[in-house]
Amino acid sequence: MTKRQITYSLFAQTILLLLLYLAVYLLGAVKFLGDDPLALSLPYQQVNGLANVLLNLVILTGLIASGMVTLNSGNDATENMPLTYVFYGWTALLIVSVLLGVLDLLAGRFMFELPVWALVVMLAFLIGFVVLIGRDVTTWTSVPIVWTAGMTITILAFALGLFSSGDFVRDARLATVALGLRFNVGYILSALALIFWLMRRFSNVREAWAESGLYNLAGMLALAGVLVTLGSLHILSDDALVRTIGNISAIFTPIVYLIFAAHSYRALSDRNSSNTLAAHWVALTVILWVLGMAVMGALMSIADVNQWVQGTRLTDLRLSLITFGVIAVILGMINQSVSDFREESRRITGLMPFWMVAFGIIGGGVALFGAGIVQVYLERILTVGYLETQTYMIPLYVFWVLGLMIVSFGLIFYALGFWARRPVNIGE
Amino acid sequence: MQGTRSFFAGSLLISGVLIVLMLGRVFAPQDVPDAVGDGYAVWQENGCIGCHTLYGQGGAYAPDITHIYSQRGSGYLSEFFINPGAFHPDARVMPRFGLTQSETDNLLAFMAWIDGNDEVSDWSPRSIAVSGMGGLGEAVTVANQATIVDADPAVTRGRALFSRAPAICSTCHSLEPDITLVGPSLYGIADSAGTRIAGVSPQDYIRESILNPGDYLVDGFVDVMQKNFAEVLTSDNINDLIAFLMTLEDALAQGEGESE
Repeated sequence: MTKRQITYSLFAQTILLLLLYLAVYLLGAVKFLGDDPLALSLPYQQVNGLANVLLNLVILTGLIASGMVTLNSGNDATENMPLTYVFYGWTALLIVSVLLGVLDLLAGRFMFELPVWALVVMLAFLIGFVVLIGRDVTTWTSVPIVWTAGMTITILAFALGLFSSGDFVRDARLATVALGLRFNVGYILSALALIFWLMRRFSNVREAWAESGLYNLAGMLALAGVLVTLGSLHILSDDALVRTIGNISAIFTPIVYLIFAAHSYRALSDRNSSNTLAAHWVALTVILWVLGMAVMGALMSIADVNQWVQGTRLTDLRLSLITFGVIAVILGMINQSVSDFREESRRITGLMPFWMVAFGIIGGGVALFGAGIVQVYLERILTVGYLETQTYMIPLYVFWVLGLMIVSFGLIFYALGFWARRPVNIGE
Repeated sequence: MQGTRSFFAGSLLISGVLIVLMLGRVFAPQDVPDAVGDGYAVWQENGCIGCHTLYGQGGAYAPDITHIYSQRGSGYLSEFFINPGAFHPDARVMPRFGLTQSETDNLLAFMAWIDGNDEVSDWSPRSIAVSGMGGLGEAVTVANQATIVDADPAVTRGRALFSRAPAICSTCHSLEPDITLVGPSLYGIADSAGTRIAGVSPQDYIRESILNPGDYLVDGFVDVMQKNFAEVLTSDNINDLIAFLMTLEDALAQGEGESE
């Protein structure tokens, strides 16, 4: 296969996995609404495990494909056998992972749900992709360096999952660090590199500005992500240093993400004549990350706040905001890349899917935020029982599910646009 | 450009140092007993973390059960593992996992270890109950159900305590005739308690049944009631519960008597 075919196939896999993820996630969300006829035949933990695996595979596949575009142009029409073998292996892993989830054979660990052998295979393919993509980089500018750093941190974070022990508390600490490194640092760094690559496509910002801006922001975001991650350890380890790190994070993280927002505003306010929707998707990412990291991440770094909210729907909301932010960048990359593959400048996947996804995520997020506040107030402060509290939260869950349904429909339209405007020369 | 690249490299270096520093501080493994380790394996194999949280870590579909061992006790939990659906039939139903006796014992050892682990800070600030009404329940009971505000304040308090933490008797005991949840229905307990053991007053019978549930076991029921009410309830709590239970007369039997 040519690099162009592999890139396009990985994008197609990303969209398929994303649709599957949303279907499974929606099924899990519907279970919060009350009577569940599938409670025993398809219990929540099975649905939740599969959703978690799919979410990570969506992001990884999308980041790899986007990395091929940004680091290697992705439009190379020559055969690339090593990359082809890794691509086939990755495709097989995706199928096996979905089957493991459907057959309820996931590991039930909270670092990553794949069984250890599948995790090892996944790590091998990830390393293969990063090495093969990096091998063809001609000039190591800021985008390839930051993307590679993000992927390397992600791989290391997954590798931490191999060190599970018989001690739950130690595992929980390790999982907190592994999850944090992945979601707060690794994914964000790789996506940030893509954002700056896209800025150069939709904006008039100069190369030197983008280069220095990416390095500076990547450094600060990495540090903020690590501080947020380590600060959240305080529940599992009442250590003075952990509390101090959390308090520093509460001040440092909002400042860093506001600087990121200012950079994005600079690029978004100086648009060039590009007709793709990359700028729209980047703007959505900025909003989601500012909410997820600058507001919620910073607040949850404070021990006296987090001890009341940890394990409530607010924790889930924060993770959703970050992950949907990364997914929005990937959707923007797909939009831009397919336009480039077609050697034209057009919207490709349409404005309607964008607005549906944006409204669905933000609307559903507001409902989940409301549910989280209700849960904290009733369950944690007034000590109303968990089951009764969940009953009070059902009206808010209805709006959350509606939001997810709008996102799902938006992505179906996005996928239709992706298929309808596929490049005719992709097989050449 | 070199300066900004160095800044990025420096930030990654500082981040790495922080991670390594924390790894050294908080990741030293504890000496975990074999049964606890085996119980943790049962926990993982059955995907419990997908629904429940421990110390707030895990899924959000089912309650945080960090302190469920001290809240419920091993007898209750053993029974719960056999048929979870019988305990909260109107709420989210937990599947049966078909645990063997040794798996159950190991899981209980794990839950006890989690409950008493002093390495972890006091999670959470206030007790998290699986079911039963806390502050809101009291507000609802008093404000919206004025018809059952009793002349004796102890009865009102006992009524609230019956369905709220830390006792939550309503999880296992119905107040309707002939409805068995886990333990026997308490319908008519005020009349039946005095007839159960010769020479024992109804109040003493109820008190003993709360503090030492195995002493006066009702025929057809096994001893699974939690055994730590002496620790989790004050003597005033128990007096209030008794006051409430002593209002539960057998109206059906009295009606039959009157008609005769």
